[in-house]
Amino acid sequence: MIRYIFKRILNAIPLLFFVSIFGFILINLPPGDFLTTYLVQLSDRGTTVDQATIETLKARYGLDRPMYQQYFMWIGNFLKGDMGESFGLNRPVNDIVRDFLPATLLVTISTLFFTWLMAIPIGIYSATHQHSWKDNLFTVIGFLGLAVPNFLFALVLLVGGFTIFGNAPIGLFSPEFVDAPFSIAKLIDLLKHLWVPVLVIGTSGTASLIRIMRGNLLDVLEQQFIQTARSKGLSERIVIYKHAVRNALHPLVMQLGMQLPEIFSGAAITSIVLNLPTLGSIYLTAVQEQDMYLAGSFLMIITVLLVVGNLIADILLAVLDPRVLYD
Amino acid sequence: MNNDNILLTCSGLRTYFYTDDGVVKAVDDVNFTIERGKTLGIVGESGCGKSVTSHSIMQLVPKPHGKISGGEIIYRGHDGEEVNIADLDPFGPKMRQIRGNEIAMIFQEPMTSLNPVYSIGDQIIESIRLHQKLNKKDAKARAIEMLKLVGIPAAELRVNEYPHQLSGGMRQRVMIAMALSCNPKLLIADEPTTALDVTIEAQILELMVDLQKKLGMSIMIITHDLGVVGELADDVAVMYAGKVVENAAVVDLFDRPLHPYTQGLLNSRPVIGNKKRLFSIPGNVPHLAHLPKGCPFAARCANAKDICLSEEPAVVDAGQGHSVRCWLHA
Repeated sequence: MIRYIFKRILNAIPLLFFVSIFGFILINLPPGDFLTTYLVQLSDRGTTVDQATIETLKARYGLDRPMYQQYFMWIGNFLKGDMGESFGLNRPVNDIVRDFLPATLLVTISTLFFTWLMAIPIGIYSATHQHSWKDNLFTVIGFLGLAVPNFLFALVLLVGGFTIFGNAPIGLFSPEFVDAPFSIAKLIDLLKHLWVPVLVIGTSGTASLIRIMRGNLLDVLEQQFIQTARSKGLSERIVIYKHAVRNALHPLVMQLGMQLPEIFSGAAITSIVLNLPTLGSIYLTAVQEQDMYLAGSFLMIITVLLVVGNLIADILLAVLDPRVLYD
Repeated sequence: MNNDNILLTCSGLRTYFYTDDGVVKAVDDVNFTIERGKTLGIVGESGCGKSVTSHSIMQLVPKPHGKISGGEIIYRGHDGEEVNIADLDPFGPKMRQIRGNEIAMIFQEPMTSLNPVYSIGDQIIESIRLHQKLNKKDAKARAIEMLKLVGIPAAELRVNEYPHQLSGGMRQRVMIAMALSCNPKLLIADEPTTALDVTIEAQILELMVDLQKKLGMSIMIITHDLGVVGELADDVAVMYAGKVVENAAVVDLFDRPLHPYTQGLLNSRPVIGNKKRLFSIPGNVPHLAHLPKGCPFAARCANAKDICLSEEPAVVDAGQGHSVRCWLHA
């Protein structure tokens, strides 16, 4: 097993290398570069910039060099732990990531737990009470959750929060807590705000996981070994939770590998609407503005998450099912 | 016949499935008895209600459509106390105490009968610990003992293996070990060798005979293969379209088959050295939701009379515990 994990990590190195090249090319593919966008913005405001200033800026950002040199400059520094400078925000990418990563991870991991903790029990209930009114209700809610776009759901919650409670649950903290040191009061304030993005981002994921769990469990319950378990005289509870559920979890675990980066980046629009201090919205702006180092570094982080998520999923699968062998 | 020797009596058992297509009378007025330490063979084509009969005895008829709609299944347990299984709550404690402990079952598909994610030891131990108050260590020792009993080599090592590491024949042995681990009074074997190849089939049947001699349980074997019945059974019930059409001691049945269906089954067996075309009963089993009037076999019967098409035959006693449901013998 340890050999397998080691092998997987080694395999990830060429993958990350290719992703960095393709990512770099893709971000640079639109005509022009950050500076062109920047100059257009300036001239829109009526400011004109002389040629000398442009050349200085170009040299400063390394935009005057050929593409491949830019790439190696970026990736070389990246390997040394320096993700470069954001053009748009005028700050080192390392600082931006440091500032925004904790909140991003918090929202991502909370959402992940939320989707799993909701989806598995509801899926089990729906499968064991197939076609009951509660099962049908969960189905309807599930399809609603899948169909309603996140930004709309977020807006509805904000408006609802504002009309019912008198304040809209924007951001992760109330204004008085944003810069306050950590305390119990701050934690409580955080929890008061956290449920909104978790609910908004997690609903569609939960809905699809419920469908997967329900369908799988129904399949497993038809299997012969379930009849065997019943014929031993086991209670229905043990038959379902010990014998059926464990066999129905595979596809959910496989999903886990995809889910991490999906939640990480998919939250971008939600975080704009809810004004969350997460990396998603920053990434979106960075890509739009061709803010090369910020966008590229973020892409690499997502790729690492994908690789790690899949590795965790594969390891979990081996724990869950003795038929899965890694060698 | 001495009453004390009877382990289980099925009388007037009816198990119906209520479907959109109408009521499917999978088991309709079925009667038989199983004696202690003896083997009853239930024979018939696919879809004649053999398996549903066995599931009824286990109270494992698929919900919500299937239901025991009438009749009795009287079981006389360890202390001679009589229980009507048909009246018990399928998931109640009393039924669960009988299931696996007093009546155990093995199935047709050994490849899918064991849970793939637990070791075979765990699955046998689970059964033992559920019914016998043994600690983990003793239960494991018992599981190994059972695996040895069913002829699994290196049982101490095999006990920790998973189903996918075993062949089909081995898995069926494990199923038998699991079923017999709590010393049940009745073992129901639902086509236990159908999915196995012939040499393995012979081994498994031999094992069952052997274990019955050692442990003294009764066996109810469900099969479509008269050869299996001839080897194993003491008594035979021939089923057709949800009814027992003939019931006799095995020797008597082979000597003196009375029902045209039984005769047809016996004639359909290949005989070694005989190169003539194999006999087959013409036609198909009627759909159980749309049974014809009269005898359900009449349409396929070469000797059918007018009455066979209009009225259902009653059970006729042919002497020596031999009974038949046919107008030809009325």
